[in-house]
Amino acid sequence: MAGPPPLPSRRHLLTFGAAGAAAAFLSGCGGPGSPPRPGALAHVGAWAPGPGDQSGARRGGHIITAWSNEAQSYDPAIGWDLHSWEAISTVLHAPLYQYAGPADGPAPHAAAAMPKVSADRRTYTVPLRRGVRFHNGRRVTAQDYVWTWTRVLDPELASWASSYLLGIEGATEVYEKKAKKVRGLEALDDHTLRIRLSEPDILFQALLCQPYMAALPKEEVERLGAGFSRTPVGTGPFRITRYDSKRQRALFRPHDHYFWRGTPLIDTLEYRWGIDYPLQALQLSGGKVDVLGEGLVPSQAARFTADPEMRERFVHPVPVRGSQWITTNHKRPVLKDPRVRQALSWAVDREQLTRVSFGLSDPWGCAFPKHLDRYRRTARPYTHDPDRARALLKEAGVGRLRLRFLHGTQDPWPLMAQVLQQQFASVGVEITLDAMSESAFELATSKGEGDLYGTDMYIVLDSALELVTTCFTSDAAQNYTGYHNKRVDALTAKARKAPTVEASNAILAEVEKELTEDAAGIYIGSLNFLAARSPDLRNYQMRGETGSYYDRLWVKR
Amino acid sequence: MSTVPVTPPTATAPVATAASGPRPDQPRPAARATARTAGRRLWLTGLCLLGFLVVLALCTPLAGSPYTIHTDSLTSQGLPAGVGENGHLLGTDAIGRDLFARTLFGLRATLIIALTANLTSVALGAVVGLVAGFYRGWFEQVLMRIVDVFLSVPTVLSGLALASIVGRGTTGIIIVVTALYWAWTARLVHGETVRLRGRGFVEAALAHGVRRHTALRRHVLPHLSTILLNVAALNGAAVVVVGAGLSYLGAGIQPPTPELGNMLADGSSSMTYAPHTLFVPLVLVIATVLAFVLVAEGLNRRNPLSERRSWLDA
Amino acid sequence: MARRIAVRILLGAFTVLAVVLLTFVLQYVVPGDPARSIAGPKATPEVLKEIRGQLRLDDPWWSQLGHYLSSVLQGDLGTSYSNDRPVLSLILERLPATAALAAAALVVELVLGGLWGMWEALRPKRSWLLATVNVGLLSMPVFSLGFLLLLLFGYQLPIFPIDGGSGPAQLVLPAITLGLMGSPYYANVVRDSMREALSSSYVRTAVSKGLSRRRIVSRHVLRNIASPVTTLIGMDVAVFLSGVVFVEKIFAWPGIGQMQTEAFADLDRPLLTGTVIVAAALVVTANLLVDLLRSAIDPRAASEAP
Repeated sequence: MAGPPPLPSRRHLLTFGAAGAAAAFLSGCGGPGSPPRPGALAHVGAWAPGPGDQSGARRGGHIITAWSNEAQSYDPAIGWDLHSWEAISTVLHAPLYQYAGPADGPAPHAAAAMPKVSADRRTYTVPLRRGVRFHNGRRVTAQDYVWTWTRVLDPELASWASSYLLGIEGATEVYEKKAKKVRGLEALDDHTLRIRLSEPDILFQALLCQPYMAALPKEEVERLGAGFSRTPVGTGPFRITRYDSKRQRALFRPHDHYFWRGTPLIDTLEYRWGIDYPLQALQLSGGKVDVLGEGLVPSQAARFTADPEMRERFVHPVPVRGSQWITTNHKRPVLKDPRVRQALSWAVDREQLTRVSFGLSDPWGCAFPKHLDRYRRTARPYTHDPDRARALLKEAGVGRLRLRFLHGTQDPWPLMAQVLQQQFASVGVEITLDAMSESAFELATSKGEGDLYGTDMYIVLDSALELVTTCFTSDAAQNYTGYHNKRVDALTAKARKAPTVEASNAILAEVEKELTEDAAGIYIGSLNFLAARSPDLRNYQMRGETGSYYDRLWVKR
Repeated sequence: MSTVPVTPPTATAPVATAASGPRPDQPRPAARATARTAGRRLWLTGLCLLGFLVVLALCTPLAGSPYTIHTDSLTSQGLPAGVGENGHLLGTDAIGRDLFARTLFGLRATLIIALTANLTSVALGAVVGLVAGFYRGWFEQVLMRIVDVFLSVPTVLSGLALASIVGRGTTGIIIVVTALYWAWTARLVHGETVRLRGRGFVEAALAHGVRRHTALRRHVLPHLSTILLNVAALNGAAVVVVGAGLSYLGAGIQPPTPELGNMLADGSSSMTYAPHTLFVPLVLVIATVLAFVLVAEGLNRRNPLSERRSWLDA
Repeated sequence: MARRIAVRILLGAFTVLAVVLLTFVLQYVVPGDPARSIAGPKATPEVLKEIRGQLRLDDPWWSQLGHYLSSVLQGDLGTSYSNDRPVLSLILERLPATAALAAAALVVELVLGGLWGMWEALRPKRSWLLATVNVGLLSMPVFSLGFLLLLLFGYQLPIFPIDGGSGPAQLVLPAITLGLMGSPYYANVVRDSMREALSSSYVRTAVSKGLSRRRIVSRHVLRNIASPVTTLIGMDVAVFLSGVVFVEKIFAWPGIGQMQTEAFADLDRPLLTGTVIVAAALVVTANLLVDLLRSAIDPRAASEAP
């Protein structure tokens, strides 16, 4: 899978190799007496990221995952925080496609094969896997998908994900309550789903991997009502058996009819929440919990990464694609001048800055994450050059500059902000710091308060397009600072309609060059993720896009 | 409970009385004199300690900048320098700032807050308590019900809420602490005033046609002054600790400004890999609180009228 | 007596009502946008508008106040923004855990403070031990003490479980943290009142009558201690309600303290104000009970209070 192979062969491999590959891998680790699994033999790595050591696989065991907060909701249309996200992505619900190898794109999951795309790239035909059942035992049909997606679009549900589905023909009418049915959504038969888009969208494929696109059983949603957000019924490898908000834990057991036969291997999965990060770290190293759901936060990472033995035992670096930057408020006159933004970009010593994140970000002066697949970068990253920064500020005619920097209370921002303050001070820019909770931060940005904002973003949709369309285009949902760049808008629209990933990425490289040269933000780092898990776990796999895959791991006796 | 050894009460009684401080209803001149000497000693010790801390806080210009980041002082794994390492007397904090400089600056900020917040909260509480206790009537009822409301609202949470309105700078935290603490002083002063008013000398003055203001100023205030000083000193101790708590929850003095409270909060998150980041500020916090408590205690002992129970035995 | 009780209850009710009004004002001054808190940052303006309508956020303030007061009086504290559940049921669900923590902490305080205070009272010499520990505990912020105990007895010497459970074993460390903070106060009060009792004329009379030591202590001395200790317990309700905010966070104890910090971070106004109201009601009730209890134990106290 190395290098950029032509698309057809890749799709071919994924379509025919992936399903069988998973089966092969799983048959290798199933205990005695587990039922035979479908599919032919193929290379294991094609669907399971990092196959790990399969020898000695065994059934049984109880896994505990610690979280800092309660999930917003296990209803895939509602939850979006890390805790909810993992629960809906890899535990309770099974999306049509799931991310394969450590750096690979989607492979069929609840779908039988990759979708057939029409010549105009507007029609997607998804063959559904047979034998997929909900936790209540009922078989999943294409109608369930039609119902579920229409539900996401229901304005009464107020799902944050609804905007992602608006590219489907007729979705806007449903969202605006002008229609009951989505025109572009059709169940051809029980096992074939056809989607028609208003215009071609290279991101749509990735959208099908999202948990809010997984089928939900209408009868259970209606029966459970508000309870569906806590004890939902889905198609994922685990079903929820207890949700104890009083004692802050949820218990999951394997789904008997999970379509990857023979998995999951563990007996029970338990989520515990309300655990502060220092306690989480002590619990993990003391053997009280097995996985830290949110991974290591910088202040705790220091404890684990500084000691080679601890690092070896508990830390599991996960390749993710994420950027860390400082959003500039383009509504402020002084920040409208690109020279000022460029000056700030040159003023940042990224090496010094990212030291305080203890390995959770690498210094990087470009808009997009450092490592992207099949992507040829043309932008030149910013480096530390205070003289140039001073010269640019002088050129822009800026004497004394005072800016207000808003950032989250979460690591590493409070520390990073203090380092930044010193770095900016050395080129004559004074920033005041304002740490606030996530909710307060959202509120402040929506009101346009502040000048600089600490921002992190992980890419979930498999393309840097997501980053641009979420934060940098004029109509982006998270573009709260009024950044407006016609060239970026035009190129992004073009990249979205591009026929292949490679073509799209070539255009995106231009977008990145523009964003970087224009200093739309002050780019400081490329994010890493340090997963933390007990050394007793075997075949622990995790993706930044989804979370830990509990279906395939086992516990060392 | 009955297993506790009981020494013969006859033997214990006099000693116990002497040690438990003077009581106006059973005056023992000799015991009171000893207590007063001991009180003076405590008071002086507390003042000396407080003075030493103030001098230390005034030495900040000698300590260098508390903001300069010495990245090169961090270890190769990025951990802070320990005590005495790399030319840092007390090591560095998590991002490589000199802990000695930060501690001194932090001490200064803490002392400023403690002293100011004290003054404002005690003054406000004293005025309310005095007025309510002396003038009585419906006025008293209204004031004391307000005091009740402030006493029943949970402090930490109201502190957080208040901090989000008044801001999180030095002024903000002074306002928060004042709002949280004035009611305690008010209740104490109110009770004391009511008691004093019932004493013969105030009633006699009033009966002789002395105006109420004058009676308040001449006869009640002097008796209250020691109590007020005492409350202020104990409050000073509480303010340091409360400030630390608010910082821990993110509503105290904001970084990068060093303050002992936010240094304690920072230290708590880095203590697992660099314990000195917690213990250095903790030692100074303890010293500050000790100074305030000693002064309070000393004042308490010196006051022959005080009936307050002692927090400290000595 | 009955009249006094009635007045006290009325005053207590007034205090709680005032707190309710105060929280209503607070909702307006504390920054926050309820609609956004509910829908999350990715919500569209249409969704936000829909929610604002549902919450009557665009009504005039007096209409909102009337609505708020009438629902609070009916026991409806609103619906949590972040959780979408009735606030009262959320609080009642968490309250037992906090109550258990407070009760355990109280036991720690009574046992530690009581024994220590008695020991101090019965020693003929003055002790610097109490003074030293007093200052140490007075100056130690509760979160620092919590972290130290967690690290020492949860991790380095794994005596007490730190697995985030909510059973009696997991209760020990947080209870000790809270209890340690309060025990010096109890030790002081116990010591002072015990000394006072031992030197009083009735104990002297009892001794001269030849009563046994055990009997003197249980009959006369403990009775003298009961009243001030009860007062202290009443005050502890307020202290605990503040302390749990830190302790529950550190030890992952699922009580209302933890819920409060979360509600504050999430700008979840109904939950935040709901906990403030419930906490105030608890403090008022505790003070009322203590007051009545004191006058039952010691009739002299009845004449002091208003």
